[in-house]
Amino acid sequence: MASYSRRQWLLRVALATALLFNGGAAAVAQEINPALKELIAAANREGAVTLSWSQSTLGGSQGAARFQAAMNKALGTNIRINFLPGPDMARVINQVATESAAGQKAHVDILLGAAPQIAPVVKLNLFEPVDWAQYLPGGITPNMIELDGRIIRIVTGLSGVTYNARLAPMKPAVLDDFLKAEWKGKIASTPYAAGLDVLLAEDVWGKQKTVAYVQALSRQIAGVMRCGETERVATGEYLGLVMDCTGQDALLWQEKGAPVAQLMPLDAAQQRYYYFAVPKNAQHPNAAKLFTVFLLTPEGQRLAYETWKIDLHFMPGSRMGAMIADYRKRDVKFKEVTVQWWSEHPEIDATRSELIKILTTKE
Amino acid sequence: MSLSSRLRDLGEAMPAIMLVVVAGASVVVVCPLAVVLWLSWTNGSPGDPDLTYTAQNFVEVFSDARTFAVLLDTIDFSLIALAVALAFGIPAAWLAERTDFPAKSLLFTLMAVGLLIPGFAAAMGWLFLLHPRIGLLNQLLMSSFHLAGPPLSINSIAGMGWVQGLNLAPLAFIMTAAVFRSLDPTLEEAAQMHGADGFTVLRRITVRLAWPGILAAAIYIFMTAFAAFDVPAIIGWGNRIFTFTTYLYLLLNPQDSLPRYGLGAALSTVAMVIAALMSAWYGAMQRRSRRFAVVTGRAYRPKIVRLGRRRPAAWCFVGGYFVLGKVLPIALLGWSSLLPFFQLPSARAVATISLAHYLSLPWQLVLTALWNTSVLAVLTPSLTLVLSLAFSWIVLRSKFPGRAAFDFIAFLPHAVPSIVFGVGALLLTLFVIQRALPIYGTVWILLIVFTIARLSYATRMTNSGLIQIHPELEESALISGGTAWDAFARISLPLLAPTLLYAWLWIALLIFRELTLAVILSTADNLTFPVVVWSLWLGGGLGQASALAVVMLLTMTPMIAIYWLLARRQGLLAS
Repeated sequence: MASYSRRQWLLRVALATALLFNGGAAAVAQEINPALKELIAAANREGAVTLSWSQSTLGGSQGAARFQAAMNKALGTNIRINFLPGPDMARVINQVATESAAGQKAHVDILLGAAPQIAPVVKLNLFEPVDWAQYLPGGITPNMIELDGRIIRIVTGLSGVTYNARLAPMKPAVLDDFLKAEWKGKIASTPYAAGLDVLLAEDVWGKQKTVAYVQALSRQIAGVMRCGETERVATGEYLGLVMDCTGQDALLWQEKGAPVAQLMPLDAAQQRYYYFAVPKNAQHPNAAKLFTVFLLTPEGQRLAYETWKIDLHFMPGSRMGAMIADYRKRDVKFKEVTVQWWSEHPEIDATRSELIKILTTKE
Repeated sequence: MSLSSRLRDLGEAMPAIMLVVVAGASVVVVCPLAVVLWLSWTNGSPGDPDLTYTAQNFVEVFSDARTFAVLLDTIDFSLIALAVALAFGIPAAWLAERTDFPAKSLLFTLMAVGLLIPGFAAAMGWLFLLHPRIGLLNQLLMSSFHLAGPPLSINSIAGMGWVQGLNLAPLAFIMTAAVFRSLDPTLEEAAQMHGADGFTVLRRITVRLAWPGILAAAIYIFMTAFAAFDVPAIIGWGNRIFTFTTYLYLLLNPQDSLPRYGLGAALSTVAMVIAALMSAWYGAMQRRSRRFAVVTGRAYRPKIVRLGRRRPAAWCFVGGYFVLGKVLPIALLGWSSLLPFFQLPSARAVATISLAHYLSLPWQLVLTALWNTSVLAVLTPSLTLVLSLAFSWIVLRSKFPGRAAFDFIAFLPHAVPSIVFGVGALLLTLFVIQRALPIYGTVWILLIVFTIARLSYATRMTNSGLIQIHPELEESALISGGTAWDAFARISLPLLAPTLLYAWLWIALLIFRELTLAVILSTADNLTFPVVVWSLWLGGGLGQASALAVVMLLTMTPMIAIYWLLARRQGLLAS
């Protein structure tokens, strides 16, 4: 009984802190509302949530253990996080789509992706619409939610170029720098054209310029790697990743003593969001929702930054918010990449496959 | 009816029961291939009511120049792997069988054990050894000879073929050793009596006699390399070099659209045709090689070549293979596992050595994967051998019409690349039998597919074992009043026991390192040990992946030791 009271107390403190940090209308601490209480009970009954992303995303398996402890402590739950070091986001989403088409349960409970992975499958109606705001009124705000609650923003990433500062032949400033002879055969790109796909939009570079650049880049690169494989840049296997997904991996590797830095190219700066979505065929949908809600509390965002060096930039006290503000002072103009924006630019999907084929084919 | 008469009836019904088992197993073997063939002619997702039939998949596969480029690269890769495997395997086999090389037992042991070391572990080690920029050997060569650029590169078809070839050299050794062992020495002796020197005898007699057997082994190794996944995935993927298996994996996991299974299935049928042609050639070569084998009951003793002053060279050759093929890559893997990120050996790197990667491994996941793998390593060989016995008995002992077809079906999993079976099984369980048999994402689908994949090897073992037991022994039991089951269980089975035990352990060890099928069929609930290593590698945890690969090798060591003891007791390792 005493333990229950303590949990209740902790939860109230956590939620009060969350609401206080969110200012304005959220400043008034509220009781655990019935919706959240119900969600907690349902999640507890499910007992587990299965997640899968790369080892560098949200701290991978170690991060999952930290999130599990923090969430259970804050919300008084007893939920186990089953974490699988996973393949790329597109593959996880595609596998869940295949499982859904076959009438099977999804092998993961939460889908993580950015606009390039989420937008193409929106039409499949895979994601459960959720009234997120009811769980943390004022804490979860409308600007976090897209597609009527089927997806929710969890962190903000800044795409650029991750490179090995010690071995780099020069200090790059713009994307064109990587087409210089000094970099030939020493850099990598992603097999999914991360960041480069955004350039296809008519209001960014447009098709002609982007395809020409990617063709030239393909002749420069030695290979392809995933965004989560920054260790390959740290080891010097590749001297740079043109372009990366969030660039925050550079900060993680700097902490380990690796000479990794990120370039924010003035000609292609992008601010993108990572989304969570709960698949309709999830095995533990309530635990998935609760984990998402927890991630959007100040405690969850603090852990996100600690494990991934990334958080949601418009949350009060956000480190990404400060970073973006700093870049803006230096005249960096970010293109904000949301699922909505992506859907409004069909020219991207029309040519994205071509970019992928160019990058994954060795001449 | 009394219990004894019921048991007797059951014993008499054994042939019918075995036929049912074999027929059922044959359906399970054929079904995944049938699904692949079916899907290759469809457009749309399986299960979709709008699914249409079309030849578009084949048109698309064959109109894409990349398909041909990938197939050519796969053939190049397989040929290089074959050349490397034979270059190390044949001389080693010759040393072991036809010379007075002093450490034959050690050579057999190391070769057999070498085959069990996972290919992906060696590939990871070779990346750290021979990468153009971070490879230890390249850096040493560049600093020693003041070279401007790296002299060697593992990131090429040749590099991948080299690593795959080193992994397959033990297979070449085991297969060609059997050929050298069964050669008729009288022809060599006759040549020597006519004044031919040792080299001439080797070149004009020994090699020519052994040629059909070597060719059969070469075809087998080529097919194995063609179907290999781990080395091309670890080394080739990031360097945009695709072979058949990794390209198929790419088609099934596209970045820009939902998986197009029809396209993957169409590509798979190409591989099935190639495999069928190679298998037919392999069968012909095997039949031809038997014509050169010593099958008489005459006193037979192979002529042993004295190495004399060439003995140190023989030691260098054998030692060189083990250092290159096993010791160096595993040592580099161990080194990588101790560093926060891979660095060349230096004082600064040594200062950062720690067990952090080992301590930070997702141990709960590792233990779950270890449990799954252990369950599969016990159940797969058991089920495979039960089925193989039934197949062999039906094919060799029964008089059922059309029984030869069962032998052909049992050989199919060898002929067709296992990744094709994996894809077929995935689609079958997802879209066709999902309601009747919901095994998608469970260890049971792995058990079934692993069993199918090992059926060829197991039936070859049980076939050869059963052939050596004369049917008269079983007939005697029947004449003495025993049932068919009595004859089988009390005569054949005890005589087959050593073969079965050896095959069981061999399959169990191979299951422990199986990656290709597990990668295709894995989900959260059926992860195996190699898949976790692969996932960590793929997910950017190079150090953790190295650490887990080392843990995996250590875990396999006691099993390998048991295998070695058993095989040695049976005289399968000693010359």
